[in-house]
Amino acid sequence: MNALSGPVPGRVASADDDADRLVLEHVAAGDHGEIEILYERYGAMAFALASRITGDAALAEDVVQDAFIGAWRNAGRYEKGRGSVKTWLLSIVHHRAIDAIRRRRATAELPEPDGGPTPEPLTLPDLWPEVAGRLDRDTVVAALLTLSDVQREALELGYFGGLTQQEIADRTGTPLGTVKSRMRLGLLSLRRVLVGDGPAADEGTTGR
Amino acid sequence: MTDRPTAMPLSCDEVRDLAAGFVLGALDRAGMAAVREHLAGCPEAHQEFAELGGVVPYLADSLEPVPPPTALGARMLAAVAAEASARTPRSVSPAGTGRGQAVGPTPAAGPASAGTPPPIRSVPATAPPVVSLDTERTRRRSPLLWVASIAAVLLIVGLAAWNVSLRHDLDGAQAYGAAVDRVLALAGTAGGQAAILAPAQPGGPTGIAAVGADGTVRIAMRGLAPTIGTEVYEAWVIGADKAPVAIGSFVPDAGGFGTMAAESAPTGPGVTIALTLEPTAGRTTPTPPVLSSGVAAGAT
Repeated sequence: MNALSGPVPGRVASADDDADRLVLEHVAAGDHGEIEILYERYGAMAFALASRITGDAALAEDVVQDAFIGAWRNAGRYEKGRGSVKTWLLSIVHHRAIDAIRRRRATAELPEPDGGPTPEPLTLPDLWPEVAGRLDRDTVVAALLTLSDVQREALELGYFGGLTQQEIADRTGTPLGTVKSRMRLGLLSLRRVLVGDGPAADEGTTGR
Repeated sequence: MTDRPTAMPLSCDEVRDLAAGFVLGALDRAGMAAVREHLAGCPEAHQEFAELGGVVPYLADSLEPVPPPTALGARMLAAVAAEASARTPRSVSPAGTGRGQAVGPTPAAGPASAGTPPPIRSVPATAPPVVSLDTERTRRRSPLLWVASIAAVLLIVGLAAWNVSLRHDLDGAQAYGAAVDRVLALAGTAGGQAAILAPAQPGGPTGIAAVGADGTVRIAMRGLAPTIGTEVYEAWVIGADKAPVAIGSFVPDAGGFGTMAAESAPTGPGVTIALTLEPTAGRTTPTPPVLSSGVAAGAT
C-alpha cells in the first residue's frame, strides 16, 4: 500500500495515487483528520526533503508542519490533472523550504530593521504531471547518475540548494547562460532516461 | 537577466529561456512571478514546461526518507484540529441563514437549501473545510476538545509564532512551541485549568498558562520586550482574596520568548494569572502596569 514502506523495483502502480486522491477529497470535504493518512504516507519524504533543503532539523519541522497545514487548508484547490497528491504535497514542502532558507539568508545578510518582511500566505506551487508514474528511489538515483556532473550539480543547487540560476552562476563562476542550459539539458536527460522518450538534447535550443 | 528586478512582461522566448529555472524553483521571486504571469495569459501552450517540469518531482524521490520526530505529527494534527474547530461556527452559518445548523438539526431555509434537510456536512466552494457537526458535538463534550479549543485560541497567537520562527530566532520559537505543548498537557490533566494571557496593551506579550490541581503552574509567553539589568518578568496568581502572590520570575530569550514553571502555587477555580515587569526578582507586590493577564478555566 505504502510505497515508502519498502523498495519496490521499477514503477509502482498508480493505485496509491488514486487512494491519495480519495483521501484528499475527504479532507477537502471536511474530514480534517484524514490529513493524518497523508502525513503517515509522506511525512518521512517531506521531512527528508525539508531537511535536505534547510540543513536544519528545527526549521525542517516548521516547514513540514506549515506545509501539511497548508495542504489541509488548500485541499479543495488540488487539481488532479496536475500531478499526484504526493507530488503536490512535496511541491508545497519544497516551496516552503526554499522560501524559508531564502528568507533566512536574506536576514543573515541584511539585518531586519523592523522584524523583516511579512511572510506571504502559502501559495500553491506550479507543477506538472510526473512523466513516468511512481518510481522507486534506486531508479531515480541511477537516473541521476547518468547525468554529467555539472548538470547534476546545477539541478541540485537549484532544487535542493534554493539558489537562483544567477546565484549559481555567481558562486560557481559559470556564465548564466551555461547554468541555464545545464539545468535544461539535465532535466531533458533525466526525462529521457526515465521514460525513454522526449526531445533529443540538441533539440530546442532557445532562440536567444 | 534571470533576476530581473522589475515586473516587465516577458516575451515567449524569454519565458522559454527561463523554463528550467522556473520548474526547479531556481528563479528569484520576481522571475517566478513574471513567468507565472506570462503563462497565465499566453495563448501558446509552452509545452516545454510540462516536458521539463514533469521530471522535477523525481528529484525528491532520490532522497532517503527520514522519519520526522514523533511530536511533529501530533503538533500538526493538533493545529489542524484547533483551526478546524475554531472556524467551524463561522463556516456552518452561511450569511446568517443557517444559525440553527450550528447548534442542532433545525431546518434552515437558506437560498440553496430550501426544501432539503440541513446538511450534516457542508462543503462550501470557497470557504475552508468544516467538520461534521456530529463529530463536533461529540468533541465539544470531551476534555480533549477543550484542550483543542484552547489550542485554537492559541493558534491565533501561535501562527504568528511560526512566522517568526521561519525567519528569526528558530531556537526560541522551537522552545516556545515545546513549552506550549507542556502547558497544554498540564491543562489537560484532571482538575487542570488553562488561561490565555492576553496583552493589556496592543502588541504586548501574549501566551498561555496552565494551573494543575496540585498547584503546578506552567507559563509560555511570547512578544516579551528584552529586560534591562536586573529586571525580570514576574508571574502572579490572584485568587479569591484578590491578593497577588508572586509565583516565579524569568527573563525572555533574544526572540522575546519566555517560559516558566512553578510548584505549590496557591490555586483555585478561576484564579487570575498576571504578568508584570519588575525591577528585581523577589518582589512581593506587583509593579504596575500588568502586562498580560487571563483567568484560568477548567474543562468542566
